[in-house]
Amino acid sequence: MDLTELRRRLAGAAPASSPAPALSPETHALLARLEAIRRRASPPRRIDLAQCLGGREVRPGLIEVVRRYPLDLQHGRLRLAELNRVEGDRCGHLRWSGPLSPARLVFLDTETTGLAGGAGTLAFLIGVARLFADGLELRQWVLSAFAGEAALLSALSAMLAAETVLVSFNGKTFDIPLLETRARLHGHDPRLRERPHIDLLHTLRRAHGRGLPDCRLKTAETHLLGLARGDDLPGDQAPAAWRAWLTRGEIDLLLAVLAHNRNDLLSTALLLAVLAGEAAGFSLDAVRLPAARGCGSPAPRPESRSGSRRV
Amino acid sequence: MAEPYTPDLPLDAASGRGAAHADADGLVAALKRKYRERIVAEWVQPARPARTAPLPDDLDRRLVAALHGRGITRLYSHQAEALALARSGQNLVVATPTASGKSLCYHLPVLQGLLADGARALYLFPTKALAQDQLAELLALNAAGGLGVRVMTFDGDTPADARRSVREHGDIVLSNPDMLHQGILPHHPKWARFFEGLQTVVIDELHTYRGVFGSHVANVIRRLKRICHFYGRPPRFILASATIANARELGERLLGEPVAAITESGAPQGKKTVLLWNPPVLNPDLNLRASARSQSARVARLAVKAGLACIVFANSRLTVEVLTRYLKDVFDRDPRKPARVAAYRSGYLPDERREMERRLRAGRLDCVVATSALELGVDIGALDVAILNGYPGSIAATWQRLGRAGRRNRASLGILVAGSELMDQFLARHPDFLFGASPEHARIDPDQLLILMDHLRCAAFELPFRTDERFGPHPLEPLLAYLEAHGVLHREGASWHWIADSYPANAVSLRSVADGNFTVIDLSDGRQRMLGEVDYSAAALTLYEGAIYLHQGEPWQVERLDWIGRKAYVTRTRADYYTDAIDYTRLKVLDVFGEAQGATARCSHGEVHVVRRVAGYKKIRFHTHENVGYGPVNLPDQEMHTTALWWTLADWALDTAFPSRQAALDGFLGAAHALHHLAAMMSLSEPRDLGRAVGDGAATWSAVLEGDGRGGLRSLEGAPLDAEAAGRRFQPTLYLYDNYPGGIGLAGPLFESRADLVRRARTLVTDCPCSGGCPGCVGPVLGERDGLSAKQAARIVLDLLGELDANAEDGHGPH
Repeated sequence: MDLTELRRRLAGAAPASSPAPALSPETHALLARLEAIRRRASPPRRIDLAQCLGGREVRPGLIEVVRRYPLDLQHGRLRLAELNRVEGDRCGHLRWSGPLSPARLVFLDTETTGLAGGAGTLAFLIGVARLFADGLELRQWVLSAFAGEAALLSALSAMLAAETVLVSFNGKTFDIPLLETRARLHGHDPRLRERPHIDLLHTLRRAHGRGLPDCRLKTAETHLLGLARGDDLPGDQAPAAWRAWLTRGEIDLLLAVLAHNRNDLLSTALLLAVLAGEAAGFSLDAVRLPAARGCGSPAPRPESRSGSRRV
Repeated sequence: MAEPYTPDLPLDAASGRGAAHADADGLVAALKRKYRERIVAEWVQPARPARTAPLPDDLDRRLVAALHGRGITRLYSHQAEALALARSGQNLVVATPTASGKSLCYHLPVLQGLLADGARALYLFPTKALAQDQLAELLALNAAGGLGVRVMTFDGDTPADARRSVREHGDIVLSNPDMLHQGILPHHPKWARFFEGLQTVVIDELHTYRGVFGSHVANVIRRLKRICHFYGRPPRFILASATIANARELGERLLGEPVAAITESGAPQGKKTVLLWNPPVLNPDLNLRASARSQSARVARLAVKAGLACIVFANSRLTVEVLTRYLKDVFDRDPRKPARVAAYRSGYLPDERREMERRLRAGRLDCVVATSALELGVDIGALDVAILNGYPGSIAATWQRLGRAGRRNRASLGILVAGSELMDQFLARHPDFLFGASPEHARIDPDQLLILMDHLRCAAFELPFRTDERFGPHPLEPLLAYLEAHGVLHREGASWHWIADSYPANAVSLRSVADGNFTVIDLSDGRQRMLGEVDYSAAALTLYEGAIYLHQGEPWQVERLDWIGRKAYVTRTRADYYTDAIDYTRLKVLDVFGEAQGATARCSHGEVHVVRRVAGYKKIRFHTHENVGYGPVNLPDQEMHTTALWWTLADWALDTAFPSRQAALDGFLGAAHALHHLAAMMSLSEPRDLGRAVGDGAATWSAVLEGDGRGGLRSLEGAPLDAEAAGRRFQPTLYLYDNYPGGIGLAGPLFESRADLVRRARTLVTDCPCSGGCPGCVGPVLGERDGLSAKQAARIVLDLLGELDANAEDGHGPH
C-alpha cells in the first residue's frame, strides 16, 4: 500500500476522514524511509574510494587506477611478451590488412550498470591496456559518482587520439555503442564507431566458431589460453557491485569487479596474440580446431610448450 | 486512408460497385412504410456541396506538382485552414468526419516543411495498419511529385537491419505510441540526428487516446517533449480526430500545451439518414422486447437484398459470430459461390483481415459484421448502410460507426438498433441525447499515480531528472524519492539518475495490463493450425475448457487451455449452441479515503482488492436462445487493487424496509445496475471502465444474479449460501470500482457527485415504463420475491441511499 500512502501525501497530506485514523505499521515504515531519504540528500560517505582502490581521484567523481605488468607475467600458459611478436594478421581471421604495431593497440573493456542497453545504461568502469617496452600498462577509470562520467568519457577519447587501434571482445556490439550513447547524452559525439577496431569476438567466431562449445571470453580463455579463473566475480554481478557502492558505500564487490576487469583485459590482449597467429592456441582437442592448427602456426614454441597442460 | 481528394471526382463509380444502384433512400422509405412503430427517431443530414480553396501560391512547386499528379487542384476549406495554421507554427487539431480528407491536413504542412527546410516529422498511429495506409498515401504523393522524401515505417515489423537506416535517414517516420515508448525514446541517443531535425509530430486518430490508453500516451508525449527539449527543438503537434465534443480539450490534455481546433469540414457529403430503431415489445409487463440481434439481422437482409453495401457493428466478438452465422445462413448457403457475408473482429490473423479489407474495398463483399476493430480509420471504402447492433457505449463510437456509411454523392443510412440494456433504452426514450447533444467528451488522466510512476521510471531511464524539472503537475521530489527508496534512482546533488539493471519501458504496456495474448490452435484433422488470438483480459471468459469458440460463425470447441503457455486447443464441432461465461466478483476494502455518513446510509471512497472468478458457463442454443446446460470452469482468479466507492445501509433500516434478506439483495443488485450505467455516463466513460459488485464489506460473500434471474449469495469458493441463515453477517455493500489496476480516477469524482448519481438513478427507475423491472432500469432481474418486484426493491434501496442527499454536503472527503 505504498502507493496509497504516496497518493495521500501528494493530495496535501490531509488524510481521508477526520479524526485521522491510526497509521498502520507499514505506513510508519514508509514514512520513516521517505524521511531518511530526504535527510540523506548528500550521503555521509566518508570512505575514500580512491585510496581503497589504490588509485587517485583525477576529476570529481572519477578515479584512475593504474597497474603495470611486466612482460614475463604469465596469464594462463602464455606470457605477456607474446604480444610483442604480433606484427600483422597472419591467419586472416582479424580481417586486418597491413602491419599491426603492438604499441598502437589499445585494449578496451567496460563494466556497465546493466546489459539491457538503452540510454539509461552506463559504463561505470572503463579499463584500457597498452603495451610499452617494459610491460603492459593497465589503466582503469572508475566512477565514484555520476558527476565523473563526462570526464570518464573524455579520458577515453583522449587516449584514443591518433594512430591507435582498439581491441576488444564484443566491443563493436556492446561497449562502443553504449559509450557513444552516453557521450551523446553529454553532448559529444566522439565517433568511436569510426575508429579502427578489432573485435575479437568476431575473430573468434571466424576462427573457432565450430570448434568451441561457445564463443564466450571465458570459454576462449579455457581452450585457447589455458586459463582457469578461480572464483572470479561473474560479469553479471557488476551492476549490483556499483549500486552497492553508490547507495550503501560498500566496496568489497567493487574491488572484485576491478580485478575481474583486469583479468578480462589481460585475456583480451593475449587472445589477440593467439588469434593473430603468433602464439599457438592451447586446445583440448587440436583436431577439432583445424583453423588454429592450419594457419601456419608453427610447431609449438618452447615457452608455450612449457605452459601447456592437457587436462 | 487512400481516398482521392478530388472534390468533383465521381468516387463511387470507381469502387467497383457502380453508381447505378438504388441508393439508401429507397431502403429508408421501405423501412418507414413497414416498421413505422419501431423507428423511434429519425435524423437527416442533407447533402452538402464541397467548400474549397485554391492551393496557396507559396506552396513548394514540387508539392504542387505532386498534388496535381494526384488529381488535386484545390483544397477543401479545412485542409487549407490546417495548412495555414500549421505554417504559423501552432499546434492544431483537425476534427472532421470520416473520409473528409483529414490526412492531407498534416501531409501538406509536413511535406512543405521538409521540402523547404529539411524539417523531419514523426507520425503516430494507434495501429500498424493505419501507418501502412498513410505510408502508401505518402509514397503516392512522393512518386507523383518526385519529392525524394524518405518515408519509412518503424514498428515491431521493421527488421533489425533496417532500423539503423530509419534512424539515420528517415525524413518522415511512421510509428505508433507503443514503439515510441519502448523502441525509440529509451534509445534516443541513437536517434539524435532525427530528433535534432524533428519539427512536427503528427498524432492521428486522437479520439482513440482516451481512458487508460490515452493517459499512458499523454505521459509518452511528456517523455517525447523532454527528449526533444534535450536536443534543442520543441516540436509542433498536428492532431487529427474523429468528431468528438472536446477534441481541442483532449488535445491540450494530451500535449499539455494550447491547441487550435478546426472542426468545419469542407468535404462534400451525400444525404445521410440515421434511424433509431427499438425492437417491438413482446411482453409489456416485463418491458421485454425482441432481441436487437434479430432486428439487426432483418435490416441487414433487407439492405443486402436491395443491393446496398452494408456493415453491421456488434459490441462483442460473440455477437459478431452469431450474427454472421445468421446472415450466412441466408446468403452463403451455396459453398461453391464466393462468400457474400464475412465477419471482421480482432483475434483474426492479420492476413485474414487484410484480405477482408481488400474484398470490401473492391466491392466483392455485400455485408461485413464487425466489432470496434473496424471502427478505426481502416480503409474499407465507403458503404451504403451501417447497422449498429446495440449502443456501443459512447456517443463518439456511435457516430464513428455510423460514419462508415457515407458516400460523397449518394444517400446513405445509419441505423442504431437498441438493445435491452439500460443505455440503449435510455437513448430510445431520449433520442436527443444522441442527435441533439454534441458527442461526449473523451477524458484522460495523465496524472493517475500508477501510470505516472510507470512513465517517471521510463523518463528517468532516458535522461536523469533534475529536482527543478516538471513532469505533470505533481511536485516531483516526493515521487523521485519514492523511486529512490525502491532502488531504481539515485540522487546526486540536484540530479536523479537511473541505477537499476533493467529496461523499464519493457515492463510498461500502454494498452492494458494484459500480459500476453492467447493463441487459439485448431487441432482438427490431426494438424496444428493457428486459428486466431484472444487477448488476456478476454481469455478467461472465452477460452475455458468446454467453451464454444466461434470463428466466421463456425463453432470450435475448446479441448484444452494452457493458461501458463497462453494457448487454447480447439477442434471443429457441430454444436448447435454457444457458450457464455458466468463470472462473479468479490471485493475487500483495504483503505478508506473519505466517507459520508447519514442516519441509515453510508457512502465511502477508497482502495479495494478485487477478485474476479469465472465460475462456470451456460450453453445457449442458436436462434432460440434457450439455456440448454451448464458447465464448470476452473481457472485462476484475476486480482487487482483499485479505487472504488461503495454504499452500505444500516441493518435496522434493511430489516424495517424489506420483508427478507433475499428481497434486499434483489434491491441491491437492481440499484447497482442503474447506478453503474448512470455512473459510466456521468463520468463520460464506458460501462466496462467501471466495475460493479454487490457483496459483503468484509468479502465473506458476494451476490450474483443466478440463472433464474434472481439474486443469490455465493461463498468465496462460489458455493451457494442461504442468505437467511441465522448468524450470517448480512451487510450488503454496493460497489462501483475503477476497472483498472490502481484506478483510473473515476471513483473519486463519483464519490463527490454521489448525491446527483443516486438522484438520477431514482428518477430513471421511477420513470421506466416497465411494471416490475427490466434491463432498461434495474437489469434482467425477474419476477417478484416476498411481494416485492425487483423494481420496487431497487427503488427502496435507492430511496434509502438518497437519504444521504439531505446531508451530503458534510464535506468529509478530500476535495
